[in-house]
Amino acid sequence: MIAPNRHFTVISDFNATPLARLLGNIPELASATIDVAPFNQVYQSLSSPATHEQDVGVIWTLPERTLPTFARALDMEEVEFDDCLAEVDEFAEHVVSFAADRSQCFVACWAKPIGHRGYGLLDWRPGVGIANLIARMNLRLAERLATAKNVYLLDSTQWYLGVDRPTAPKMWYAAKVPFAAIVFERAAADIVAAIQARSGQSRRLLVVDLDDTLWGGVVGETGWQGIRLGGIDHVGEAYRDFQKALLSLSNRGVQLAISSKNDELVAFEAINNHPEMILRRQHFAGWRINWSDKAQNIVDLVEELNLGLGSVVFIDDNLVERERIRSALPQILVPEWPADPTEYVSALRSLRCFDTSTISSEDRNRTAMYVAERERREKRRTVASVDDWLLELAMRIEVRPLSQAILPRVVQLLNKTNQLNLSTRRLSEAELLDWSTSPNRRVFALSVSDRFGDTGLVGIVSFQVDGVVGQIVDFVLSCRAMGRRVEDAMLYLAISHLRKMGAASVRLRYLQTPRNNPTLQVLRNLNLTEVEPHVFEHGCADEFNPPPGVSIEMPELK
Amino acid sequence: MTLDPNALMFVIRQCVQELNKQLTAAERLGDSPETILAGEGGKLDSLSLITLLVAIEEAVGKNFAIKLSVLDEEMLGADDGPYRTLGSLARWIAERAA
Repeated sequence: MIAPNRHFTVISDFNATPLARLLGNIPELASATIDVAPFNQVYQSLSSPATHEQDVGVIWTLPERTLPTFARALDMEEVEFDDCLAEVDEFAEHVVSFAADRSQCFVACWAKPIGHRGYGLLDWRPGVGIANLIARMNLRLAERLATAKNVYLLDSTQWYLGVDRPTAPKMWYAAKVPFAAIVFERAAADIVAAIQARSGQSRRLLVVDLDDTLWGGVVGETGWQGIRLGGIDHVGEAYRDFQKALLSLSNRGVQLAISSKNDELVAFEAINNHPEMILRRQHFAGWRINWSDKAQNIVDLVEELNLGLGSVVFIDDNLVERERIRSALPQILVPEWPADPTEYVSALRSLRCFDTSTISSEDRNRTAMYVAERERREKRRTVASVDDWLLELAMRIEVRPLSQAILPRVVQLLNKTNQLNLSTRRLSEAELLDWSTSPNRRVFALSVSDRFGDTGLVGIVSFQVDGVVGQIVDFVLSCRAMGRRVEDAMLYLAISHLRKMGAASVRLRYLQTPRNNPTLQVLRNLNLTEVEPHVFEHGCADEFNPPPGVSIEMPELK
Repeated sequence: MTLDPNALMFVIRQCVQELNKQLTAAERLGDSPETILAGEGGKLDSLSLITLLVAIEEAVGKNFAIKLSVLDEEMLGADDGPYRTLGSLARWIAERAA
């Protein structure tokens, strides 16, 4: 369930009932209520207050019915583009105001009526053409809506690209429904994907097979020189383009891994040596290349990468392997895969499960972080004790108070971290900022680096004091930083500050979820007293030392 | 042109499947010829009935290469007209195509 008990309002200047009905039939929205605002009363509906702060808005308008100047432009009257853009500004202002007391709002971008050729060869001429005007309107709308962090402009043009008959003229005249059912289905799918992305449910790891998936042929039989990849062969070119598409996913923060039934040395001969390989060893966060069952291999791989099975997508050309993973590991998304490799790129690009609501430089560099983590693990195997290993890592932790500069990244981490998360609060940027402004509360973010590289912003600690009782509210750590005693540093930070703020004791209340059992294990290993089940305490007068060998840069205690 | 009744019912059933995606579990239609569309015992509202009729019209045109108007607003409110059941609808379409 991604939007439990939420109330959706669909606002439109056409009959959007098909969209509302499709949304209502999506299992992930089973407990949501979905209402369609009164027909063609867009501005009136945008002025209506939310019934609850978790309400969701969906706004889909036809520009010729909402913007009078655009309607005149579509009738081939001469118009001033600036007049139209002023109407866009007014519309955007209403949307931002509407979204202010709601959790999130999705707005469909505008498109020229399908089949309307506008001014033909002049249609992109500035100041004249309809295509030019619509492009400017959408850019203006995007700029104005960017001021509201909970408003997202969706690319509606994707909903009718490639559809044979995207409009339904008879449905328009009979019922004011402008689009064919498939257009509404795609819109509903995008809206659900957007909500999942906002809820931190994006998939983060893509596990791929090798033979006939990354290249054509079986490398164990042909040798690396014999695989079909690149060159002047249309199938080889398709595989190469598929690798490029996978790399582009990696560039936006999705990790790649391999699960293949092969000899590992032979497979890496191809990966390392084939001149047309796009993906090399350094592009993969991990791999299991052996003759064992793929289901167990993937479980081991996911554990190694400190992720959950719900983060994973599995792509394999072999239907038997796909069915094996589907039945053994139902939490993994296994998309149906085309038999023809020339369709691999479009199949990959059609997946919505990787959509995220923010993107940072850390996301883009995540693979490098995983590679560094692999090197840390390999180093760990050569060193006798954890403390010796920490000394070898020469870890540095930088602690920063919450600020506007790091707020998006902090909220992203808060909302998507499951395994090490004390209370699993899910907050918007506005909500966290508002919470943190109370004088008895603090929020700190931790960034970690060591001699293998920079892991980035990985931890959040928030706490509050009431009288002499201090309480840690958020204790969040990214799975890629677990096991390096960063948890000790976080607790040291909190106790030090709470002591200064007048607390005599520090309390942590563990709120159990299906996925945060590792948090309980960490708390029990942290030398705290479990005063009642799942409630831990530490006296501020008692010693709590930072982890040895770790340099902590902390702001001055206030 | 004489429409093969089985082929016509197959096309109509496909349209019913598409419409059912927009309906709640309680509203969804069966695909037998006795399935009631309009009048007493019918579960469809006017939007759903119109959606189904327009979809069938398009599908008949695409599959049999004939242009036939299936939606007739004057008959929408009739309790005993061609829109009564899937079977009566199929017979009516076949008669008009012939």
